[in-house]
Amino acid sequence: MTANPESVSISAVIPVYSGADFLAELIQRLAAVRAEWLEKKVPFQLCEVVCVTDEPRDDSCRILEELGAQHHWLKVVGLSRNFGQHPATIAGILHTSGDWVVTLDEDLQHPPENIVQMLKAACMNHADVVYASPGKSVHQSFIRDMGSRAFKKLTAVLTREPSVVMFSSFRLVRGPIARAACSVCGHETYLDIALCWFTQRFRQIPMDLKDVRVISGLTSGYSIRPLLSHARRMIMSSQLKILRTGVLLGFFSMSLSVVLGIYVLITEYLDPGRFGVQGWPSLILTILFFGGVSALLLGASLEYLTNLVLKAQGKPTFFVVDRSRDRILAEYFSE
Amino acid sequence: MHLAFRQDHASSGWQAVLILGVGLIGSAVRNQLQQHRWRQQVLPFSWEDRALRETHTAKIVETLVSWIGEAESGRLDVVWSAGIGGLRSTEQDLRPELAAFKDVMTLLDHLIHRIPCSLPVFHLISSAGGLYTGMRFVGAQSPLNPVYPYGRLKLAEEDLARADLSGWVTRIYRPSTIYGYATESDRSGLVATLITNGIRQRVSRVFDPINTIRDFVYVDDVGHFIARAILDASPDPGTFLLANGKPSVIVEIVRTIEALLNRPLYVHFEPDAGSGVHNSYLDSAVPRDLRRTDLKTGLRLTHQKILRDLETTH
Repeated sequence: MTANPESVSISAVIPVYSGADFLAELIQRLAAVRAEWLEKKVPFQLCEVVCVTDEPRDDSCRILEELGAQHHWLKVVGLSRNFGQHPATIAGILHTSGDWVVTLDEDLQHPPENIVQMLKAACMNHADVVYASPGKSVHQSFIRDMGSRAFKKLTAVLTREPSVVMFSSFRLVRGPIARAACSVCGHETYLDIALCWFTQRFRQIPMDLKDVRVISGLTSGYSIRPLLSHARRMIMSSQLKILRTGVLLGFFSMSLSVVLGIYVLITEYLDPGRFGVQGWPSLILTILFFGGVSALLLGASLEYLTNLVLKAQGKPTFFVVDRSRDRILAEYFSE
Repeated sequence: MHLAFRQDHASSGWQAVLILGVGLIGSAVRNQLQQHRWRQQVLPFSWEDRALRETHTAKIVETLVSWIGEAESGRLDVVWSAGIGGLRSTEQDLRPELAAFKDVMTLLDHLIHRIPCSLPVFHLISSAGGLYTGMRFVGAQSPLNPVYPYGRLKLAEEDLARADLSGWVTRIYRPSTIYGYATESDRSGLVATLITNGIRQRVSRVFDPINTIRDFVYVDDVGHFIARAILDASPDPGTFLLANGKPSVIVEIVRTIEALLNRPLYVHFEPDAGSGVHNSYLDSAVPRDLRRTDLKTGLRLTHQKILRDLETTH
């Protein structure tokens, strides 16, 4: 099968770790979506589905092999060891060639039927990335849902990157941006943070998503340790703008010590013995001055270090993207 | 032109391989064959001068006949891995290649009558990029789309090989974007250019936009696939898409090479009319037995070859 050059091509990427119970249904639903689009002759096609096996702990590989023999558009990419959900997603995206790339979880948490809503939201809002915004209780666990939201909000504040609160693994990304972001990702880079380096055009659409595995008491493919690792990577991939506050604080402290120093000198000259205990003002001023200098230099050094790390991680100086083909979809969805 | 010959003691016959065009692919096939015991000779073959080409053709036949001697029957493999064109070539640029190809067709016809050959096999290197221009998700049943003169030339060569070579087993290979390095090759592809210029800290000019999708297949994998058919006792005729199956964007190539060289590349993108055509191929269309070196390993191997070559030439 070849994509009609006039139609917009979509690639789906599914990282697979423990999806044996869900994969057959997921691929069947994707096949139904694909067939429906072809039947309706819409100007977009689901051209390929890339499943990335992340050293699964169940029978997923065999199931995918069987499904791959049935569907020529299903590609299975096998990772050599367990790398984690983000590296698997990155590997999958780097195996796509669609105009848009949608990433889904393996466990039916993300309904393939909703891809069209995301596509509509993308082209009607001129967005490059559309995230599904889950309802308030995606896991139906107060602590887990609250923890996830609170952490994203905290990261958004620390990094001053408002789109962090939108991050979700059900995302539709413009193909060139997805592939460019994945090309620069190192082993510690958080994919969504890398997307922020290439675009600011993020959108979020509400969706009723449920993590069936967690709700039904089954173990999630990605338990607490990997989730903490996720959080750490998100922070480490970001430029912590709070460092600049440290620089400012140090500068303020140093300046204050100079001003107060002048004040103490003048006061001692005009009114000797005014401060009572001898040596106390100079001790405090010395601590204030060198504390300020240390904070300033430390903040500046960390800022330099962050810039170097981001450069090493591949944050681009600029990137060019062609959005002209959105017109085809915008015209269709406007009808 | 490269001629290799061996006596096959198992079948008490002979096998000769004629490689027309020892560039990137031709040298990869030759290198794969060198692992076996072959008597080898490099013979001249003019691509430009027709009269000279006739003299060279006679010399090829003479050499082959002298090597075969009294042996009765054997196998002859001819690999057409020549060609000077590319997607930007004009009809005029490609005319000499088509003329040379037609002469080779005549040579093959002549060879099959002059030497006692029980199994003649013709291996034609075509081009997936030329034949499926601008197409993504190319599968086994995808229609051809030879938009540029280069694609039309490759299609004409395929048609000639299928129609005019009676008695030959014809195998047609359609490689995607080949990368690698060969000292013998006059032309340097995107990858070799980026690596060489990266080492020398020079500016590389790239004529496709940074987002262009291509399928980069490592030349040794292509060489390995063809060489295995040459060594196979009964190769099947057919058309084979030789692609990696993994699409890559140019930015991915640039970024990986930067990481490999541990320095930034100076790249000047000069997209022109007709550039930026995407190509990708479905996994299901690629032969299962094609060895597929992953991109990072292939780039490393290419880098090592270039470094070795630069060290020996300086």
